[in-house]
Amino acid sequence: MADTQLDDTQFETGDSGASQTYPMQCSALRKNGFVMLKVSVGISPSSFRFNPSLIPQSRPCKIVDMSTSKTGKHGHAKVHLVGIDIFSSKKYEDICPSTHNMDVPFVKREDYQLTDISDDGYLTLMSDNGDLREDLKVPDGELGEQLRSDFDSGKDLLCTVLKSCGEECVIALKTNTALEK
Amino acid sequence: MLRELEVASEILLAPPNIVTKEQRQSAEQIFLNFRKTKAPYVLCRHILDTSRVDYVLFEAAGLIKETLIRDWSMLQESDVLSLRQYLLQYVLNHLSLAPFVRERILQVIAVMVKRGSVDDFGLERSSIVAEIESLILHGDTVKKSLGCSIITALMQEYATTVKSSDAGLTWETHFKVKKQFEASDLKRIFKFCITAFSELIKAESVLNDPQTVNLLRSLLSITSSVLCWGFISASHILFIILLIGIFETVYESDQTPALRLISSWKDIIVDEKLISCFFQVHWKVRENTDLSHYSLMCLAQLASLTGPVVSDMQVKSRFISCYISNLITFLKSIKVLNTEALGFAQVFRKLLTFYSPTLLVTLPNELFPQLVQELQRLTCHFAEGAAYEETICSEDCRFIEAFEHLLEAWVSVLQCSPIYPPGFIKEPAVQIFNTYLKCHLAPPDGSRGQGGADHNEEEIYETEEPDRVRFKEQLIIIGIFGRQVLEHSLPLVAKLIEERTERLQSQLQRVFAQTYSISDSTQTVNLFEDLHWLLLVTGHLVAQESEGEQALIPSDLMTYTVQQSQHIDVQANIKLLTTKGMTPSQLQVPLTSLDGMIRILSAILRLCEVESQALEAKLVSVMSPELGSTIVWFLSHWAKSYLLPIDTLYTEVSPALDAAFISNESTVPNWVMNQLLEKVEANLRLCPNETALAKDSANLLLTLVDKPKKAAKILNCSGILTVARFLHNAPRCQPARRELTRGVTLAAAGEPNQTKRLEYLQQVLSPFVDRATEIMSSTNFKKECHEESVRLELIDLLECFTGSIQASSSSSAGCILQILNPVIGRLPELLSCYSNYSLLVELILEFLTESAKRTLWCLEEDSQNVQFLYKVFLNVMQAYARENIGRKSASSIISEEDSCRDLLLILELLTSIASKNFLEKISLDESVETVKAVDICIFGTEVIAPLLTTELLQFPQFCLKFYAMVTFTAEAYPERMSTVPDSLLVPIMTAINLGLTAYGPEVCSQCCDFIGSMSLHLSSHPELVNTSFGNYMHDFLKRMFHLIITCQMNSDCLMNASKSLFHLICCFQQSYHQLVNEILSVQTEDVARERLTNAFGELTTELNLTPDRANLLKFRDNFEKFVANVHGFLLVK
Repeated sequence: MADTQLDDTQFETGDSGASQTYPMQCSALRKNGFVMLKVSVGISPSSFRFNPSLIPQSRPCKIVDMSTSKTGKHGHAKVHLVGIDIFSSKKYEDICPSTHNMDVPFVKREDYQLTDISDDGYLTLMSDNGDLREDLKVPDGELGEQLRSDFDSGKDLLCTVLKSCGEECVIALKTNTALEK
Repeated sequence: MLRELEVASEILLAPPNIVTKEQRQSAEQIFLNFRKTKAPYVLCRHILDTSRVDYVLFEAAGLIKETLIRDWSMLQESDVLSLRQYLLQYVLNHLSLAPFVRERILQVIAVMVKRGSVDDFGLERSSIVAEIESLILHGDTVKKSLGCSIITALMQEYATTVKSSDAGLTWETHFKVKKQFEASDLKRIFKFCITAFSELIKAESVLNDPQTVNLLRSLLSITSSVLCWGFISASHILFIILLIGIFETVYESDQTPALRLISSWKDIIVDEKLISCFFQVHWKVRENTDLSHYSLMCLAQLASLTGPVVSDMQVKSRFISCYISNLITFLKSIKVLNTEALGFAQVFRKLLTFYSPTLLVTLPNELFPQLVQELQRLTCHFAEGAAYEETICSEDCRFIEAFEHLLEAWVSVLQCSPIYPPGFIKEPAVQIFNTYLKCHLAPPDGSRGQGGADHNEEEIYETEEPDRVRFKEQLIIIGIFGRQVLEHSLPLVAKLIEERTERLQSQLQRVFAQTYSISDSTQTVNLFEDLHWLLLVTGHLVAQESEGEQALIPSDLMTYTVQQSQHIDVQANIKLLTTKGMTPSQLQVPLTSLDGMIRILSAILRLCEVESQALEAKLVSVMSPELGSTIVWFLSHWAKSYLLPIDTLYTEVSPALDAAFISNESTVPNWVMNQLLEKVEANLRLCPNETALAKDSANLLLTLVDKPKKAAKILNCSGILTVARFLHNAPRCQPARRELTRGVTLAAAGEPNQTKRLEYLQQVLSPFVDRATEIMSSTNFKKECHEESVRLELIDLLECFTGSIQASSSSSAGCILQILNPVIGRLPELLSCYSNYSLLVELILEFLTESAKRTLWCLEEDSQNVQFLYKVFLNVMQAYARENIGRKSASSIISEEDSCRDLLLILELLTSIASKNFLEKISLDESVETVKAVDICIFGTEVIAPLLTTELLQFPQFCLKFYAMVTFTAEAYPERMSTVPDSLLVPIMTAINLGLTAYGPEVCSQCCDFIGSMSLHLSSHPELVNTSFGNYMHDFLKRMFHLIITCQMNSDCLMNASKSLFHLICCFQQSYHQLVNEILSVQTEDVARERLTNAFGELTTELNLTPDRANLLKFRDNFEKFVANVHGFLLVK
């Protein structure tokens, strides 16, 4: 398979420096854990040679379904993974022998206090140690609406920010009760 | 009007691309309006006479039926009569009607006949049946089949099931007319069908003429429904209400009820001609699958004949002799067709279920031996067929099913084995055992896979059941066969396993020497599969399934080894067992001096050795994880009965078995145990990626510590510490870590000395605790905790802690808590750190839930340990509440049950705490300032309440657990539950109110119990009546009565409802009387009102409305009658 040959070419994303993923044996993955899954592109492997940007890219995914199968009754376990891109919510799948390694993204979740929302939809967030940042947008969908309306009604909000592979976004918010005490 | 309907029907039936959605809707509306027409008889007659459109005819007939049922009591008798005759004539005159229209019209006639029979005791029906009889016996073929259709429609209306249409009768009346129909006409129908059969089968060949085939099908369908008819002999209405449920379940399970007849059927059923008639019918139709299905069903039903009709033993013997001799003659003269397999299997199964071998052996002419011989022949035949179906993975599994039915029949035969002459069962047992083995072994010894495709390339998913589960029932019975002939079966399987192990070994050596070819790999897979099956069969041969009971060495095996012991050389056996990897011939031990069981076990240990060596030599990719799993399954299944059992269970034990596996004095059992432990460790270490194998290996470890006696021995084995050490250093995410830790912790139960026990546990568990404290005490933990490696390690450690707490017993719980204490105390903090990581939150909650379940019950409530745990529970819940209340996340739209697992675990935790205190509430000492279980429960409910949504309650598991928890808390602490603040009371009461109807019977019972406990509390605390709690209870009285009378409450909950109703009535007597008057005043029918008044009167008759047990019991009986009574006349079928 051409896919596996290309596996060895390390694909770098975002900021350089420390690796954003680490290898882990496939059988050690867990449901609700994270894994890098390949984005399948509908082109023939030969065209990669002419256009390196078409090399299948991997996305950090949360594993939503994991099952095993084997080829023949006396075969060895293979792991089927279904993951959802943690940023775009797109669904990806992969299959891998349980003894092989998969890349696992480093995933961080940090809470920030929301201090302001700019007119162009950027959040002003304050970390535990008081640092401010203004590079994240109001999340899409229901969560974003809730965030705006809660903020407008004057609630103190904590935003949970998910960070992985150089990307970040707000995935949860909660009314800050710590301040009341 | 007619034209309009015809056009509308055309639109309705037109393909979707021709008509628009609007056209279709308006056409539908036309028919909906048509169905509402009042007094439509003239119109419908007009339609029937003039229209040619089938669909319109069908609707017209339907309209007549609906109107008839609605207006029955207002109709003139003459009108009814003329309408019925008109319809009958109509069908007779329009023989070319579309079948669905004809059936519909016949159904209308049948409904009329049934309603009519309520008033005239079935006189008219009998005359109609007589008419049809002459139609069937003397009419031409067309008339005959029309007659059959009418009979079918009639029978359908009188049957008990959902099949009959709503005829506007109460259950009570329905059963009355059904009994009447059974007594008079059903037998007559059966009789003339038989007469019709004897005419039909005179013809040389019946299958050539399509009309005859049709007629035969109708007749066979009628007779088979008579034979499957749910006859009821109960006369009491109470039973009838119960029976409804039973009949429905029986029909749904597609197991037809036995043919149970009253004595008036004797003249027709116990008749040799009848039996041979059915066999002849089958003989004539057996080539036609459709017909032979019915004829075989009739034969199977006849084989289940019971009831008063055969209460006379002589009659019974005569009947069954005749049946069996017909059956044997039949089977001897034919070769069973594939399509007949299932039918004949049913015949045997029914026959042997309803006629015990104790009766059958007394029959003349060697009938029973002949029957058994036929059974054996068919069993072997079907076993081969079943194996073939397995190899081709056919969708069609008639042989598999038929084979299983026959095995069931054999169980009846084998159960009575003491009454047979010696050796009677040996021959069939050998044959069947051999055939089964042969079917599952590869050629040349066996016939597995012949004719089938190669399935080695097929994807097998984890959801597929492994063979040992899928074929468990079969294997158990094959094991019984094998134990009938141990002198044959034991050496046979031993030899086969030895031989194949040797072959496997030489194959693996070739792999190692790199002289392995492709053809070798097929052979290896064949060997894996052979060994896999041999182990499954042998496992069930030597040991019985023992779920939930004491595992015993099968008595026939014990007797056999005792009998053999005089030839047995104990020392030679021990030498063979304990010399690793050597065969009897290598050791020059004569086979005759070997004990059968020991020979088998040493063969299997040798197989283990071969497997482990291959794994050590890095041949993992060649080996079969499936076989590995089967090997550890065998060892665990075997060890349950054989290894260090309680020796007082056996009166006599053979010296060889005693020395090898049983005796406390001998060192050999210890040696064997160590071998098994080493196997566990080797599997874990060498195949870390096979989850199923790891789990099965962990399971083997667990069987080795399931009894204190075994645990005591295992502490002397070096193997247990090897496993523990493996765990301390196991790779990350090692599967089955929890079970393994449970296993090594359980071994502590074998140490009687407390200090030593603590020592052992420390040795096993401290490394985990130390590591966890080390991680959490790091000054940078707040930052480091988000690092993946830290998180993964904590996940693994939590798994180990959960495993160890699961192993708590009354003797070890204290020690385990003491060791884990430093970790447990920090769990609230850990939960706060990881509140964003659901997996860790769940693991922490799971650990706490397990500790509540396993340790609380064996500790004193005011002991330090419990107080410590309680405080942790409280703190963890506070932490959880802090993190989760007011939280909204992007994935908060719950898509999977998984996402509420944390809540589910909290519920489970609360339920365990509530139930613990429920048992030991008396020992509560009020004076000491302690955390009480009730505080946690109420606090926990407060945590859950704001998170509760109706969407969440849609998850069945969550819903059940939530209600169970609330009810448990109410039962244990009604005083607290009744005084909770409104902010908590309102959601609870709303949920209970909802639970009465919304979530099925189980939740409903819980809600009834909740109301019951709370109203009992209220009756002794009248001061609460005017609180908002009291108001809620007051509303429940009315609501529950309403639900019961309108039959909205599931009958399974009535017992629970009676208790709560009684307490509610006691609390609110005045309101109850008002309520009764209200209910009565809305009844419009005089009769119903009068009966209802009486029913209410009887409900509270002869009892005081004080909430004590005697009155409650009396009320419960009254209530049961009340419900049956009220539903009998209020509930219209």
